Amino acid sequence: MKPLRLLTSSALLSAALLSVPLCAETGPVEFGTFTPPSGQGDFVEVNIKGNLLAMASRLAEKEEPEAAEMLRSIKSIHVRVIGLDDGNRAATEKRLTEIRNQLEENGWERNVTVKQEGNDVAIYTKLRGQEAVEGLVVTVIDNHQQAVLVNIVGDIRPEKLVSLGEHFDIEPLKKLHEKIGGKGKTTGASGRDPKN
Amino acid sequence: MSSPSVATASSPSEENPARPRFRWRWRWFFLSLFLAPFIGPALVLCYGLSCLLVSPTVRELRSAAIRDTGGHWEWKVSARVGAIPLTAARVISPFVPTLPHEARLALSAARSGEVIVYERADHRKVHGFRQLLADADRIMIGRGWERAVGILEDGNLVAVYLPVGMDSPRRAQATVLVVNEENLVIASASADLRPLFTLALQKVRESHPEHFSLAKR
Repeated sequence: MKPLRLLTSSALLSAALLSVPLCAETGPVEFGTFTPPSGQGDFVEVNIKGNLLAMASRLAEKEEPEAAEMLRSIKSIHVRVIGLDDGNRAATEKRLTEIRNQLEENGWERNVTVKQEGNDVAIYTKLRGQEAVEGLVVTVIDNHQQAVLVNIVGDIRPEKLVSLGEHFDIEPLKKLHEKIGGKGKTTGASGRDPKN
Repeated sequence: MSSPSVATASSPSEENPARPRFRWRWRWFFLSLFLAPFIGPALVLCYGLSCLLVSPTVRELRSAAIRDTGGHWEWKVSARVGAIPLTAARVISPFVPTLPHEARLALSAARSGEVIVYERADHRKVHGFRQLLADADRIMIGRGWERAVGILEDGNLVAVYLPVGMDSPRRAQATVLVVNEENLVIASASADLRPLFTLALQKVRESHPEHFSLAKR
Protein backbone atom coordinates (compact mmCIF):
# COMPACT_ATOMS: atom_id res chain seq x y z
CA MET A 1 0.00 0.00 0.00
CA LYS A 2 2.84 2.37 0.79
CA PRO A 3 4.10 2.63 -2.79
CA LEU A 4 0.48 3.07 -3.98
CA ARG A 5 -0.14 5.85 -1.45
CA LEU A 6 3.11 7.52 -2.46
CA LEU A 7 2.18 7.27 -6.11
CA THR A 8 -1.29 8.71 -5.51
CA SER A 9 -0.06 11.65 -3.47
CA SER A 10 2.65 12.39 -6.07
CA ALA A 11 0.06 12.38 -8.84
CA LEU A 12 -2.21 14.71 -6.87
CA LEU A 13 0.65 17.07 -6.09
CA SER A 14 1.74 17.17 -9.75
CA ALA A 15 -1.80 17.90 -10.85
CA ALA A 16 -2.05 20.71 -8.32
CA LEU A 17 1.26 22.23 -9.45
CA LEU A 18 0.33 22.02 -13.11
CA SER A 19 -2.98 23.76 -12.49
CA VAL A 20 -1.23 26.77 -10.95
CA PRO A 21 0.12 29.13 -13.62
CA LEU A 22 3.86 29.51 -13.41
CA CYS A 23 3.60 33.22 -14.09
CA ALA A 24 0.66 35.53 -13.75
CA GLU A 25 -1.26 36.33 -16.91
CA THR A 26 -0.82 39.85 -18.19
CA GLY A 27 -3.88 41.92 -17.40
CA PRO A 28 -4.91 45.28 -18.77
CA VAL A 29 -2.68 48.19 -17.84
CA GLU A 30 -4.34 50.53 -15.38
CA PHE A 31 -4.28 53.91 -17.02
CA GLY A 32 -6.20 55.50 -14.19
CA THR A 33 -8.54 58.43 -14.57
CA PHE A 34 -7.64 61.34 -16.79
CA THR A 35 -9.21 64.76 -16.55
CA PRO A 36 -10.89 65.82 -19.77
CA PRO A 37 -9.91 69.25 -21.09
CA SER A 38 -12.09 72.03 -19.84
CA GLY A 39 -12.23 73.81 -23.19
CA GLN A 40 -13.00 72.38 -26.60
CA GLY A 41 -10.25 69.77 -26.54
CA ASP A 42 -10.91 66.17 -27.47
CA PHE A 43 -11.45 63.33 -25.06
CA VAL A 44 -11.96 59.76 -26.16
CA GLU A 45 -12.24 56.72 -23.96
CA VAL A 46 -12.84 53.24 -25.34
CA ASN A 47 -12.98 50.10 -23.20
CA ILE A 48 -13.72 46.87 -24.97
CA LYS A 49 -13.56 43.89 -22.68
CA GLY A 50 -13.27 40.17 -23.31
CA ASN A 51 -16.99 39.46 -23.26
CA LEU A 52 -17.64 41.92 -26.08
CA LEU A 53 -14.74 40.62 -28.10
CA ALA A 54 -15.97 37.05 -27.60
CA MET A 55 -19.40 38.15 -28.78
CA ALA A 56 -17.91 39.85 -31.84
CA SER A 57 -15.90 36.72 -32.52
CA ARG A 58 -19.03 34.57 -32.50
CA LEU A 59 -20.75 37.01 -34.86
CA ALA A 60 -17.84 37.02 -37.30
CA GLU A 61 -17.14 33.26 -37.12
CA LYS A 62 -19.12 32.31 -40.18
CA GLU A 63 -18.26 35.20 -42.51
CA GLU A 64 -14.70 36.04 -41.51
CA PRO A 65 -13.13 33.12 -39.61
CA GLU A 66 -9.64 34.68 -39.61
CA ALA A 67 -10.89 37.89 -38.05
CA ALA A 68 -12.96 35.82 -35.60
CA GLU A 69 -9.88 33.89 -34.52
CA MET A 70 -7.99 37.14 -33.98
CA LEU A 71 -10.82 38.54 -31.90
CA ARG A 72 -10.90 35.41 -29.78
CA SER A 73 -7.23 35.81 -28.96
CA ILE A 74 -7.64 39.38 -27.70
CA LYS A 75 -8.73 39.85 -24.10
CA SER A 76 -9.26 43.59 -23.95
CA ILE A 77 -8.67 46.85 -25.79
CA HIS A 78 -8.36 50.18 -24.03
CA VAL A 79 -7.90 53.52 -25.76
CA ARG A 80 -7.52 57.00 -24.31
CA VAL A 81 -7.19 60.21 -26.28
CA ILE A 82 -6.90 63.29 -24.11
CA GLY A 83 -6.74 66.81 -25.43
CA LEU A 84 -4.30 68.84 -23.40
CA ASP A 85 -4.88 72.35 -22.17
CA ASP A 86 -3.46 74.42 -19.32
CA GLY A 87 -5.87 72.73 -16.92
CA ASN A 88 -4.76 69.14 -17.42
CA ARG A 89 -1.46 69.17 -19.35
CA ALA A 90 0.92 68.85 -16.41
CA ALA A 91 -1.11 66.16 -14.65
CA THR A 92 -1.61 64.12 -17.82
CA GLU A 93 2.04 64.21 -18.88
CA LYS A 94 3.10 63.30 -15.35
CA ARG A 95 0.69 60.35 -15.36
CA LEU A 96 2.00 59.24 -18.74
CA THR A 97 5.56 59.25 -17.42
CA GLU A 98 4.47 57.24 -14.39
CA ILE A 99 2.79 54.67 -16.65
CA ARG A 100 5.93 54.32 -18.73
CA ASN A 101 8.08 53.83 -15.64
CA GLN A 102 5.68 51.23 -14.25
CA LEU A 103 5.71 49.33 -17.51
CA GLU A 104 9.49 49.15 -17.53
CA GLU A 105 9.56 48.08 -13.88
CA ASN A 106 7.05 45.32 -14.63
CA GLY A 107 9.12 43.76 -17.37
CA TRP A 108 7.62 45.39 -20.43
CA GLU A 109 10.05 45.90 -23.26
CA ARG A 110 10.23 49.27 -24.99
CA ASN A 111 10.48 48.48 -28.67
CA VAL A 112 9.92 51.88 -30.23
CA THR A 113 10.99 55.32 -29.07
CA VAL A 114 10.42 58.39 -31.18
CA LYS A 115 11.12 61.94 -30.06
CA GLN A 116 10.83 64.21 -33.02
CA GLU A 117 9.35 67.66 -33.67
CA GLY A 118 7.42 67.77 -30.44
CA ASN A 119 6.15 64.18 -30.77
CA ASP A 120 6.98 61.70 -28.04
CA VAL A 121 6.09 58.11 -28.92
CA ALA A 122 6.87 54.96 -26.96
CA ILE A 123 5.63 51.46 -27.75
CA TYR A 124 5.93 48.70 -25.18
CA THR A 125 5.34 45.00 -25.55
CA LYS A 126 5.24 42.08 -23.20
CA LEU A 127 6.31 38.87 -24.85
CA ARG A 128 5.40 35.33 -23.99
CA GLY A 129 8.39 33.31 -25.06
CA GLN A 130 9.34 33.80 -28.68
CA GLU A 131 5.93 33.21 -30.18
CA ALA A 132 3.39 35.63 -28.93
CA VAL A 133 2.89 39.14 -27.65
CA GLU A 134 0.87 39.13 -24.45
CA GLY A 135 0.34 42.85 -24.30
CA LEU A 136 0.95 45.99 -26.28
CA VAL A 137 0.97 49.56 -24.98
CA VAL A 138 1.36 52.63 -27.16
CA THR A 139 1.87 56.01 -25.51
CA VAL A 140 2.01 59.24 -27.50
CA ILE A 141 2.30 62.88 -26.55
CA ASP A 142 1.62 64.92 -29.64
CA ASN A 143 3.11 68.43 -29.51
CA HIS A 144 1.86 68.87 -25.94
CA GLN A 145 -1.61 69.18 -27.45
CA GLN A 146 -2.86 65.63 -27.19
CA ALA A 147 -1.97 62.44 -25.33
CA VAL A 148 -2.85 59.01 -26.69
CA LEU A 149 -2.71 55.68 -24.91
CA VAL A 150 -3.59 52.31 -26.39
CA ASN A 151 -3.44 49.00 -24.55
CA ILE A 152 -4.19 45.66 -26.16
CA VAL A 153 -4.01 42.50 -24.07
CA GLY A 154 -4.24 38.98 -25.41
CA ASP A 155 -2.44 36.33 -27.32
CA ILE A 156 -1.23 38.55 -30.13
CA ARG A 157 0.68 36.62 -32.72
CA PRO A 158 2.52 38.91 -35.10
CA GLU A 159 2.17 36.50 -38.00
CA LYS A 160 -1.61 36.44 -37.51
CA LEU A 161 -1.70 40.23 -37.41
CA VAL A 162 0.29 40.35 -40.63
CA SER A 163 -2.02 37.75 -42.16
CA LEU A 164 -5.03 39.79 -41.12
CA GLY A 165 -3.43 42.90 -42.57
CA GLU A 166 -2.93 41.12 -45.87
CA HIS A 167 -6.47 39.71 -45.79
CA PHE A 168 -8.04 43.14 -45.33
CA ASP A 169 -5.30 45.09 -47.11
CA ILE A 170 -4.37 47.16 -44.04
CA GLU A 171 -0.88 48.57 -44.59
CA PRO A 172 0.12 49.28 -40.94
CA LEU A 173 -0.68 45.70 -39.97
CA LYS A 174 1.33 44.34 -42.88
CA LYS A 175 4.40 46.12 -41.51
CA LEU A 176 3.61 45.56 -37.84
CA HIS A 177 5.83 42.55 -37.39
CA GLU A 178 8.96 44.62 -38.02
CA LYS A 179 7.88 47.37 -35.62
CA ILE A 180 7.06 45.01 -32.76
CA GLY A 181 10.60 43.73 -33.07
CA GLY A 182 10.22 40.17 -34.13
CA LYS A 183 13.98 40.33 -34.60
CA GLY A 184 14.73 42.95 -31.92
CA LYS A 185 14.64 45.86 -34.33
CA THR A 186 13.58 49.34 -33.36
CA THR A 187 12.56 52.27 -35.45
CA GLY A 188 13.34 55.08 -33.06
CA ALA A 189 14.11 58.21 -34.90
CA SER A 190 16.28 59.29 -32.03
CA GLY A 191 18.66 56.59 -33.17
CA ARG A 192 19.21 55.13 -29.74
CA ASP A 193 18.62 51.59 -28.78
CA PRO A 194 15.74 51.56 -26.30
CA LYS A 195 17.13 48.47 -24.66
CA ASN A 196 20.09 50.57 -23.32
CA MET B 1 -95.85 15.13 11.96
CA SER B 2 -95.83 18.31 9.86
CA SER B 3 -98.37 18.89 7.16
CA PRO B 4 -96.96 18.67 3.69
CA SER B 5 -98.76 21.94 2.77
CA VAL B 6 -96.97 24.03 5.45
CA ALA B 7 -93.84 25.50 4.02
CA THR B 8 -90.90 25.74 6.38
CA ALA B 9 -88.88 28.93 6.45
CA SER B 10 -85.62 28.58 4.47
CA SER B 11 -83.22 30.80 2.40
CA PRO B 12 -83.64 30.97 -1.37
CA SER B 13 -80.17 29.54 -1.93
CA GLU B 14 -80.95 26.48 0.02
CA GLU B 15 -84.21 26.14 -1.93
CA ASN B 16 -82.71 26.54 -5.38
CA PRO B 17 -78.99 27.37 -5.26
CA ALA B 18 -78.54 27.29 -9.08
CA ARG B 19 -80.91 30.16 -9.95
CA PRO B 20 -79.30 33.21 -8.18
CA ARG B 21 -75.77 32.28 -9.41
CA PHE B 22 -77.18 31.86 -12.89
CA ARG B 23 -78.72 35.32 -12.67
CA TRP B 24 -75.42 36.91 -11.54
CA ARG B 25 -73.55 35.40 -14.44
CA TRP B 26 -75.97 36.91 -16.92
CA ARG B 27 -75.67 40.33 -15.28
CA TRP B 28 -71.90 40.26 -15.60
CA PHE B 29 -72.20 39.15 -19.19
CA PHE B 30 -74.47 42.02 -20.18
CA LEU B 31 -72.40 44.48 -18.17
CA SER B 32 -69.25 43.39 -20.02
CA LEU B 33 -71.05 43.63 -23.33
CA PHE B 34 -72.16 47.16 -22.49
CA LEU B 35 -68.70 48.30 -21.34
CA ALA B 36 -66.70 46.55 -24.09
CA PRO B 37 -66.97 49.42 -26.61
CA PHE B 38 -65.46 51.72 -23.97
CA ILE B 39 -62.86 49.39 -22.44
CA GLY B 40 -61.32 48.40 -25.77
CA PRO B 41 -60.47 51.94 -26.93
CA ALA B 42 -59.42 52.86 -23.38
CA LEU B 43 -56.90 50.03 -23.37
CA VAL B 44 -55.60 51.06 -26.77
CA LEU B 45 -55.32 54.67 -25.58
CA CYS B 46 -53.42 53.60 -22.46
CA TYR B 47 -51.05 51.51 -24.54
CA GLY B 48 -50.55 54.41 -26.94
CA LEU B 49 -49.74 56.78 -24.08
CA SER B 50 -47.33 54.26 -22.60
CA CYS B 51 -45.40 54.36 -25.89
CA LEU B 52 -44.63 58.01 -25.13
CA LEU B 53 -43.31 57.24 -21.67
CA VAL B 54 -39.70 56.15 -21.58
CA SER B 55 -38.05 53.99 -18.96
CA PRO B 56 -36.85 55.42 -15.61
CA THR B 57 -33.22 55.03 -16.71
CA VAL B 58 -33.72 57.17 -19.78
CA ARG B 59 -35.70 59.69 -17.75
CA GLU B 60 -32.91 59.97 -15.22
CA LEU B 61 -30.30 60.43 -17.95
CA ARG B 62 -32.46 63.12 -19.50
CA SER B 63 -32.79 64.97 -16.20
CA ALA B 64 -29.03 64.85 -15.68
CA ALA B 65 -28.37 66.09 -19.21
CA ILE B 66 -30.77 69.02 -18.93
CA ARG B 67 -29.48 69.95 -15.48
CA ASP B 68 -25.76 69.72 -16.29
CA THR B 69 -25.82 71.40 -19.69
CA GLY B 70 -27.94 74.31 -18.56
CA GLY B 71 -30.06 76.41 -20.88
CA HIS B 72 -33.43 75.47 -22.23
CA TRP B 73 -34.21 72.27 -24.10
CA GLU B 74 -37.44 71.74 -25.99
CA TRP B 75 -39.03 68.32 -26.17
CA LYS B 76 -39.39 66.98 -29.71
CA VAL B 77 -39.77 63.22 -29.75
CA SER B 78 -40.45 60.55 -27.19
CA ALA B 79 -41.19 56.99 -28.26
CA ARG B 80 -41.03 53.54 -26.88
CA VAL B 81 -41.63 50.32 -28.78
CA GLY B 82 -41.89 47.06 -26.93
CA ALA B 83 -41.78 43.42 -27.83
CA ILE B 84 -45.47 43.10 -28.78
CA PRO B 85 -45.66 45.62 -31.64
CA LEU B 86 -42.27 44.53 -32.96
CA THR B 87 -43.33 40.89 -32.94
CA ALA B 88 -46.55 41.85 -34.70
CA ALA B 89 -44.55 43.78 -37.27
CA ARG B 90 -42.30 40.76 -37.84
CA VAL B 91 -45.35 38.56 -38.36
CA ILE B 92 -46.86 41.01 -40.86
CA SER B 93 -43.65 41.87 -42.75
CA PRO B 94 -43.61 38.77 -44.99
CA PHE B 95 -46.94 39.91 -46.39
CA VAL B 96 -45.54 43.29 -47.39
CA PRO B 97 -43.61 42.57 -50.60
CA THR B 98 -42.47 46.19 -51.06
CA LEU B 99 -40.56 46.27 -47.77
CA PRO B 100 -36.83 46.71 -48.49
CA HIS B 101 -34.52 43.88 -47.56
CA GLU B 102 -32.58 46.06 -45.10
CA ALA B 103 -35.76 47.08 -43.29
CA ARG B 104 -36.87 43.47 -43.10
CA LEU B 105 -33.51 42.47 -41.65
CA ALA B 106 -33.56 45.33 -39.13
CA LEU B 107 -37.10 44.38 -38.12
CA SER B 108 -36.06 40.79 -37.56
CA ALA B 109 -33.26 41.99 -35.28
CA ALA B 110 -35.05 44.58 -33.14
CA ARG B 111 -36.51 43.44 -29.83
CA SER B 112 -37.37 46.73 -28.11
CA GLY B 113 -36.33 50.34 -28.24
CA GLU B 114 -36.94 53.79 -26.88
CA VAL B 115 -35.71 57.24 -27.79
CA ILE B 116 -36.12 60.82 -26.67
CA VAL B 117 -35.01 63.86 -28.64
CA TYR B 118 -34.73 67.39 -27.35
CA GLU B 119 -33.75 70.50 -29.29
CA ARG B 120 -31.88 73.50 -27.96
CA ALA B 121 -34.43 76.29 -27.56
CA ASP B 122 -32.01 79.10 -26.75
CA HIS B 123 -28.72 79.84 -28.47
CA ARG B 124 -26.60 79.66 -25.36
CA LYS B 125 -23.43 77.62 -25.46
CA VAL B 126 -23.79 74.10 -24.13
CA HIS B 127 -21.42 73.43 -21.26
CA GLY B 128 -21.01 70.91 -18.46
CA PHE B 129 -20.06 67.93 -20.62
CA ARG B 130 -17.56 66.67 -18.06
CA GLN B 131 -20.10 66.81 -15.26
CA LEU B 132 -22.71 65.17 -17.49
CA LEU B 133 -20.35 62.32 -18.34
CA ALA B 134 -19.62 61.78 -14.64
CA ASP B 135 -23.34 61.88 -13.72
CA ALA B 136 -24.31 59.57 -16.57
CA ASP B 137 -21.60 57.13 -15.49
CA ARG B 138 -22.92 57.18 -11.94
CA ILE B 139 -26.51 56.57 -13.10
CA MET B 140 -25.65 53.71 -15.41
CA ILE B 141 -23.16 52.01 -13.08
CA GLY B 142 -25.89 51.99 -10.44
CA ARG B 143 -28.04 50.04 -12.89
CA GLY B 144 -25.38 47.48 -13.76
CA TRP B 145 -24.16 49.09 -16.98
CA GLU B 146 -20.70 50.28 -17.91
CA ARG B 147 -19.43 52.81 -20.39
CA ALA B 148 -17.78 51.22 -23.40
CA VAL B 149 -17.21 54.41 -25.35
CA GLY B 150 -16.99 58.03 -24.31
CA ILE B 151 -16.18 60.74 -26.84
CA LEU B 152 -15.98 64.47 -26.29
CA GLU B 153 -15.00 66.20 -29.49
CA ASP B 154 -15.77 69.56 -31.10
CA GLY B 155 -18.65 70.28 -28.76
CA ASN B 156 -20.20 66.84 -29.18
CA LEU B 157 -20.58 64.31 -26.41
CA VAL B 158 -21.25 60.67 -27.24
CA ALA B 159 -21.43 57.98 -24.59
CA VAL B 160 -22.29 54.34 -25.20
CA TYR B 161 -23.27 52.12 -22.30
CA LEU B 162 -23.54 48.34 -22.29
CA PRO B 163 -24.70 45.93 -19.60
CA VAL B 164 -21.83 44.54 -17.56
CA GLY B 165 -20.87 41.10 -18.75
CA MET B 166 -23.00 41.15 -21.88
CA ASP B 167 -21.79 38.33 -24.09
CA SER B 168 -24.74 37.04 -26.06
CA PRO B 169 -25.40 38.51 -29.51
CA ARG B 170 -29.00 37.25 -29.42
CA ARG B 171 -30.11 39.75 -26.81
CA ALA B 172 -27.65 42.62 -26.97
CA GLN B 173 -28.53 45.90 -25.31
CA ALA B 174 -27.09 49.38 -25.56
CA THR B 175 -27.88 52.88 -24.36
CA VAL B 176 -26.50 55.86 -26.21
CA LEU B 177 -26.34 59.46 -25.03
CA VAL B 178 -25.59 62.20 -27.56
CA VAL B 179 -25.43 65.88 -26.71
CA ASN B 180 -24.27 68.78 -28.84
CA GLU B 181 -25.06 72.45 -29.39
CA GLU B 182 -28.38 71.65 -31.05
CA ASN B 183 -29.71 68.30 -29.90
CA LEU B 184 -29.98 66.00 -26.95
CA VAL B 185 -30.70 62.40 -27.89
CA ILE B 186 -30.95 59.41 -25.61
CA ALA B 187 -31.70 56.02 -27.13
CA SER B 188 -31.82 52.56 -25.69
CA ALA B 189 -32.44 49.35 -27.58
CA SER B 190 -32.34 45.62 -27.38
CA ALA B 191 -31.69 43.54 -30.47
CA ASP B 192 -30.43 40.32 -31.94
CA LEU B 193 -27.12 41.40 -33.45
CA ARG B 194 -26.72 38.50 -35.87
CA PRO B 195 -28.86 39.84 -38.73
CA LEU B 196 -27.51 43.35 -38.14
CA PHE B 197 -23.94 42.09 -38.37
CA THR B 198 -24.72 40.33 -41.62
CA LEU B 199 -26.24 43.53 -42.98
CA ALA B 200 -23.32 45.67 -41.79
CA LEU B 201 -20.75 43.30 -43.29
CA GLN B 202 -22.64 43.25 -46.56
CA LYS B 203 -22.63 47.06 -46.68
CA VAL B 204 -18.92 47.27 -45.82
CA ARG B 205 -18.10 44.74 -48.53
CA GLU B 206 -20.09 46.73 -51.05
CA SER B 207 -18.44 50.02 -50.14
CA HIS B 208 -14.88 48.67 -49.75
CA PRO B 209 -14.58 45.65 -52.03
CA GLU B 210 -10.79 46.06 -52.26
CA HIS B 211 -10.45 45.10 -48.59
CA PHE B 212 -12.26 41.82 -49.12
CA SER B 213 -11.02 40.75 -52.54
CA LEU B 214 -8.35 38.49 -51.08
CA ALA B 215 -11.00 36.50 -49.27
CA LYS B 216 -12.21 35.23 -52.61
CA ARG B 217 -8.84 33.73 -53.45
